[in-house]
Amino acid sequence: MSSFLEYISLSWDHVLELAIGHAIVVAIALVIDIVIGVSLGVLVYRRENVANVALAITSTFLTIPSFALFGLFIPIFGLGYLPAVVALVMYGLLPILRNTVAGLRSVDPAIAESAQGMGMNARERLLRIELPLAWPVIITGVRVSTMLLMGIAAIAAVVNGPGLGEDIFSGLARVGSPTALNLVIGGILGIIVLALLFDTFFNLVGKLTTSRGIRD
Amino acid sequence: MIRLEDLSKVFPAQDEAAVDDLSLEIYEGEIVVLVGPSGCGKTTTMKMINRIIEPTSGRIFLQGEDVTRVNPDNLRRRIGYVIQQIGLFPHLTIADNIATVPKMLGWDKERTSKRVDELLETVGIDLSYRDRYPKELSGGQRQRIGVARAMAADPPIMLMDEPFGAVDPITRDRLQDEFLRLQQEIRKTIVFVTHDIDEAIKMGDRIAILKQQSKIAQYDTPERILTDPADEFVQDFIGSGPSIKRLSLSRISDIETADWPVARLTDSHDEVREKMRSTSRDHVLLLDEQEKPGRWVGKEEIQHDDTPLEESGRPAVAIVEANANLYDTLDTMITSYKGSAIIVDEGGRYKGVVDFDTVLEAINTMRPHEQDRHMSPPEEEQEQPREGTERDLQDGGEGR
Repeated sequence: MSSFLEYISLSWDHVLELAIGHAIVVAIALVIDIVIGVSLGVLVYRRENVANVALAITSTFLTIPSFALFGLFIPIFGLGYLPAVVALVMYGLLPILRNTVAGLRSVDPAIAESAQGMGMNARERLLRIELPLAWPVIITGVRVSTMLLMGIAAIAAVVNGPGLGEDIFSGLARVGSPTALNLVIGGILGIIVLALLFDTFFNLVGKLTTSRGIRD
Repeated sequence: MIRLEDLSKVFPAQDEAAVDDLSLEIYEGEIVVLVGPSGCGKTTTMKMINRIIEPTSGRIFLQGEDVTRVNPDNLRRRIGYVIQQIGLFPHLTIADNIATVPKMLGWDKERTSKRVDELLETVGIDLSYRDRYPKELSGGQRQRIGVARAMAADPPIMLMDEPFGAVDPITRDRLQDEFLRLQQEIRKTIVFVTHDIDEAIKMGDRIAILKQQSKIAQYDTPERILTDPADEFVQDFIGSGPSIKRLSLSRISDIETADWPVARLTDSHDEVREKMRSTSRDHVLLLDEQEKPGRWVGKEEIQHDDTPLEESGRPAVAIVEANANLYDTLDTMITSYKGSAIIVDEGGRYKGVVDFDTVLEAINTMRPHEQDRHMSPPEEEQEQPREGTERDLQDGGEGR
């Protein structure tokens, strides 16, 4: 333990640099996921069959082993940020899409009907009534995606992607050497701390953007 | 005001039409109740008026304008809409809920805000509720907000689908009374859907009793439906005791009160005795300083007794307000001491006494008799929707 503290005190700036890269790649993927997931959810939630197809495809993404997927992307996207972001977007889509569909479907039909009866068109109903009411559920999906991506982003190191995966992989590559364990633990702890920070952030965003009328 | 012409609705994948060739004219300022057994198409009919359900064929006219093909969202902003579940927006404050349509119509902030306050007052909700959320309200309060929201942009027409269906019976009764009082002022044209014939009789200026596929069994005033049901279906639907039900349609203010001797609690005993001698009645009613009924005093009790007037005789109970209906008045009378009820105004001040004989006489005039089956045109009934009742009473008094 003392050796790990020693390690951290000496190389915290290196770990921090990796952590920032990790945070950035996850953040970029999340933003893209929210945009795609919510829009796709809005497009499909009324059409049972289309929604099922969309959900089936995005869950299939999740079953692809991440190590393999990152590897497969090298010939297509090369190395670095791009393959990492593309893969992460694929993995983070399902929770957001599924929760968007579930959230929009959970809106009380009576509320939708009274909105319609007051002369709101489909777009106004969506923006003013349905999305705000589905929002807490969507945010929950975003938080699940965040957790998922934090872990998977570590594997991005195989495509030379940014992030704490670099330390974890180099540690694992020299198991037995004195610094190996410290590298791995440093990477894992970094990811955990990042995950907690992101989760706290989205929790706060959820609270601030959810109407008092529908908070528990 | 609203004219439905040959309106039909066939839902996809159904052989039978839900509404089959319905034509109906709804007059300005009236509450028209669509009533019928469940599945008869009454709700579908109502929802075709604001085209929440698009008709398969037929035409809809509002104020003479064919609205069957106009933009439905613009149409709906002209029509208030209240459904049973009310459907308040839970994420918006009460004020924002009420302001929904005014905001869509682009009213400025000040006008909207003023209108919200006005409506809260109208439906009897304290202004401190403005910034609360629907979940903080009781069922009855939500219902009132639902009505306020529907009236926000002052639409000439309101559609109400079992609006009082989801509240307890006592609250429902109060909400119905409140709404009728409100309608006296706002005079909207209202289409009201219910499956409850008693509610229909109470709320309706006119009732359309619907059979399957929204076929009209009878479209008439409550009085005429009760006294002269068109066919067996209507008779069955009204159920037992149409004459008793009819009593709830006549107000005590419609019948003549009996002449009754009154004195004051502050009068001397001799003054009261003098009153007693000059009347054939065996009781005198004593009023307090505010003209409110105090005590009944009988001949024997006052003759030789010098008990203070406040304590002689018996307390005056069986008091009804002048706008009470005959049904409630009769109910009060049955439980009263001498079979008479004291009528007071809203302030509780004495207006008169009505006794059993007077009410019986009024009831006699309501017995079913042959009437003109044709619906009278609206002009004739508009001024006094209950005109038929009064005329019947006067005619009946001489005729028997």
